[in-house]
Amino acid sequence: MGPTDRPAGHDSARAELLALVRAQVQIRFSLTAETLADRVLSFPFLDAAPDRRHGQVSRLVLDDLYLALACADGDDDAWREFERAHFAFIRDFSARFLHGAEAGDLASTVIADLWQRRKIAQFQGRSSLRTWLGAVVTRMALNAKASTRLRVAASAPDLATVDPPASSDVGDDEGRALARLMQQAIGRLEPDEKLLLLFHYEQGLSLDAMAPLLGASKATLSRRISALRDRLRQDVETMAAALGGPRAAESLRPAIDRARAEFDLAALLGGTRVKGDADGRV
Amino acid sequence: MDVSKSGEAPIAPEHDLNRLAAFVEQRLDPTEHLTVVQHLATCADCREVVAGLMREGVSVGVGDRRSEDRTGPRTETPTGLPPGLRWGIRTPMWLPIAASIVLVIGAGWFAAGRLHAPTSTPEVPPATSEPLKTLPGPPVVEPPKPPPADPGTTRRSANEREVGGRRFKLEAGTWIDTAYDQFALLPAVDVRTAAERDALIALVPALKPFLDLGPKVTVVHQGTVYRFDLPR
Repeated sequence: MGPTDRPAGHDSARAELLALVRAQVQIRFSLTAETLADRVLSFPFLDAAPDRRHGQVSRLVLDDLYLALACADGDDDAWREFERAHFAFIRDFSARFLHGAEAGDLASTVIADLWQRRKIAQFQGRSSLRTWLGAVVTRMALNAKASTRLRVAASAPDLATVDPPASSDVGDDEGRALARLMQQAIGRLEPDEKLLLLFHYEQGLSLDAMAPLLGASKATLSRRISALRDRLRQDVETMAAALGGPRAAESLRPAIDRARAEFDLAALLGGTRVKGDADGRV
Repeated sequence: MDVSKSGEAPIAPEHDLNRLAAFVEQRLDPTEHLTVVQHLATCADCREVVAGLMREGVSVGVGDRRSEDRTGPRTETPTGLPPGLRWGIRTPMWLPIAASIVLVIGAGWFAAGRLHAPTSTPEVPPATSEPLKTLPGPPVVEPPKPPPADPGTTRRSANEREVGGRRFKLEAGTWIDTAYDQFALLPAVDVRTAAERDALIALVPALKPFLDLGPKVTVVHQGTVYRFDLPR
């Protein structure tokens, strides 16, 4: 991009970024502060609006980005620092997902991708390097698992086409009818409500873990989950009554009461595990 | 662009690991945060990535790590993690549990089944007239108000009691059996009225001592979770 092609405000944005770089980064490799600033400003995720871009830039982890970009440039000193700081973590984190030789293979693959294939250049400094590396390892571990078994669907299946799990103890018809109604009720949830249930029931995340992610206190999340479950239950009853009148709702009630009307909530919410291609491609 | 799922091709921006990692570290602005929430609600793969990071205790502090990254080889913990990091040890039990977590609707069935003491318990309404109740849900977190404990119970500390050899901890105003595991998938009975309590105690007298702890008690008894949330 030549000087005449630069968007308005580029120079002031660059000056601002350079100041940030100098304040937050110890320039210790051949990569200069100016080059780092220029590369940051070329990131496609940065918003054109100055205010929003300012916020985005101020949240970058510039020192980690500096290390990653220096590694991507092939700086030996940078790689030595990266090795000291992160190789053990990559190996350890891989072992959280896979065992024995598989874990070792995964760690080696990740390191080879980052190092030899310069995948480290994909790091944009939007988080700490370690969290990004954790995400890389997690995704590659999931892919490794997916290659040998059913994989997780890339996106929520069409709720209308998924065969809902039926209760094991109620009649097939009743159980399926109930499950389908529950599925419809879940389909009406807002994304944040659905995500809350998925994190809690599908992923088993604790309230503690979810609270910061979802921007609410533990108590609030607890209340929301309880309210959602109540709402789902009421919606099912309402829909049953609307579809077939009070008698339909009444006919389902024994199934519920006999119950064991158990539903795989994760499946109903969209985390259905289905057969797919082996490479985990979305 | 980001590490592709297959290790080769670029992946779509919505699956971008940079953005997911930023989401985990809460570095996104509200607009982008909302976009990620909407994506995660429909993308099981990205959800697993985020949940995987959360289970391991991210996010890692950056500023406090920067200097040590530059200072040569570090002493490693027995687990191989550099010292000072907050990556927790993962509890292995979540996998089978999460895979089979169920939503059981209609606690009425259970109450009806368990409390079926036909004529002697008129207080228990028939199952068909019970509003549907959910079974094991998240623990209700409320502002802690320590209920007065019965003098007969053994006071171990301000927030801990022992009743009948069982230990209870006070959490958010509820005395919770230390044996209670919300992910254990045990059947549960919610008891919210005095009538329900009396009917239950008539059938399972062994529960009575636990009620001395207060109106809010969660106790595991013979493979069933009893959750008392009675009016004061």
